[in-house]
Amino acid sequence: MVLKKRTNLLANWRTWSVATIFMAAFVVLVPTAPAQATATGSVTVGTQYGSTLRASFRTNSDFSGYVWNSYGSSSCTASYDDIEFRQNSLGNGWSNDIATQTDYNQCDVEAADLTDQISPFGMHSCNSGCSGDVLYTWQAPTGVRARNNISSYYLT
Amino acid sequence: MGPRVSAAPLLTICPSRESSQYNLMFACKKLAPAPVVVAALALALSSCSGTDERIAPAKSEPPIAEPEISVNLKLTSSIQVQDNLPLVRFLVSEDDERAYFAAVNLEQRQCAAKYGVETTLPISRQPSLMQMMTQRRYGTINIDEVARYGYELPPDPYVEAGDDKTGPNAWNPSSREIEVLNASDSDGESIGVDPVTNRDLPKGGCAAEGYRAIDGRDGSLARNEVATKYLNDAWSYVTADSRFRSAESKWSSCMKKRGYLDLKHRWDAARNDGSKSSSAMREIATNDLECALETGILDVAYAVDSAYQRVLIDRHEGELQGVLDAHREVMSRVHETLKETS
Repeated sequence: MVLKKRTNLLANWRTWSVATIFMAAFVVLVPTAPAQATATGSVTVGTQYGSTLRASFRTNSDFSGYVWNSYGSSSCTASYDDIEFRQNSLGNGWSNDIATQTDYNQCDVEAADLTDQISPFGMHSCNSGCSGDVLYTWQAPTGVRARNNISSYYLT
Repeated sequence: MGPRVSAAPLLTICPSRESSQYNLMFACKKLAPAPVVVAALALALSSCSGTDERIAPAKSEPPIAEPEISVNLKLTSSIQVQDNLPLVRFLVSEDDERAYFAAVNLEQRQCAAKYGVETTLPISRQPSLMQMMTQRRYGTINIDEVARYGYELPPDPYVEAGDDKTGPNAWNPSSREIEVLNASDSDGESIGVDPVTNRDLPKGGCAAEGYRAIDGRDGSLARNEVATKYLNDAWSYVTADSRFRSAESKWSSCMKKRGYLDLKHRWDAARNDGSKSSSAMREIATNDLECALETGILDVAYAVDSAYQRVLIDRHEGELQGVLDAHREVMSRVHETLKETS
């Protein structure tokens, strides 16, 4: 009888332990900060019209790693007012994972942050030709992985 | 890319998920006191969220057992990578790429002429895909280049001559040129019919049509998706390879001795939060490369990369042969166009 009671108590204790573990796991898996992935491969966009390279982004500050190439059918014009291409969001984990930007064929890059609320950088302009700009990284508060929150760009 | 949080002590656990899961289950079976288990679980999960996903081999490819290394090349220049890496032979040469863009430009001009427009559209000038895929594949290699430019890319006069928005090479098209080349009106809206000649415009305009005339169905030389995909896959295998990781550890120890702590990958050294001057970055870049040369990480990376690439070439021989056949078709159209207009 005593042995059975002890077994029940032990079983209850085990049940509570497992429940606690699952609750803790739930809390950990639902973080308050947005999840930020890293790039999982190279990407090309704008290729349906041609192979003129307009801008290139890299995941690593030494220009190694994956590359995001933005193509079009021609050079950009000399005007800064013509928006030649707009990429509203970056897929494949590229959002917040750009370390360098380079532009080609008279195109200029305007890369925009995810939100100015948590980034000190705002727009990253690459005017008058960028032969390879290394973007500053930003170490976010504890637990949040952040570089510079670039999540979109347009070309002029 | 390195981890974004300081989870280094647990990185060895997290990528190998089977072992970490087994250990947690084992802990549950033994029923350690709940707070201990909760703390361990929370720590493991939070650390795993910061691990590097790209070290896993590409999802599209089945796993490859670590292949035997059969090359021994001492790297001192990125040109060696370009000249010797196995998959590079499936990319076109720089000369062919330049001829390709010249032919495309001629086709674009001829198309515009059909609508009575003489275009001033310049020939595209850009680094070859071959160069882009190899120049910094393992990070910096050239010691003279690093001493002068640090991590930044050295200037490329050919490419930069085409990138001048304000100089003599700037392209200032008329609205009529834009109409025909881009098939769009002055508000940037797409148009299907040329308002002057009343003739249908090609989709995307004459600029896009010039590419279609040369590419046909064979795809573009300048963005060879097949070879670049396998080059990316190979890199994923390299970063997960035990021999490369061992070389990274040696490089990391070398950097530590020079005062650069907590660097796991070479590319970690190049990160700058804005507090380091360009001369400070040059100094880091120099130490980084000296450690790379001292520990042989570049040679290991190249050897391991080559081994995986040979496996991928064997596995996809038919597809890659098709790439070479397509190159030949495109280049024959390139030469035909250039010959016709010379």
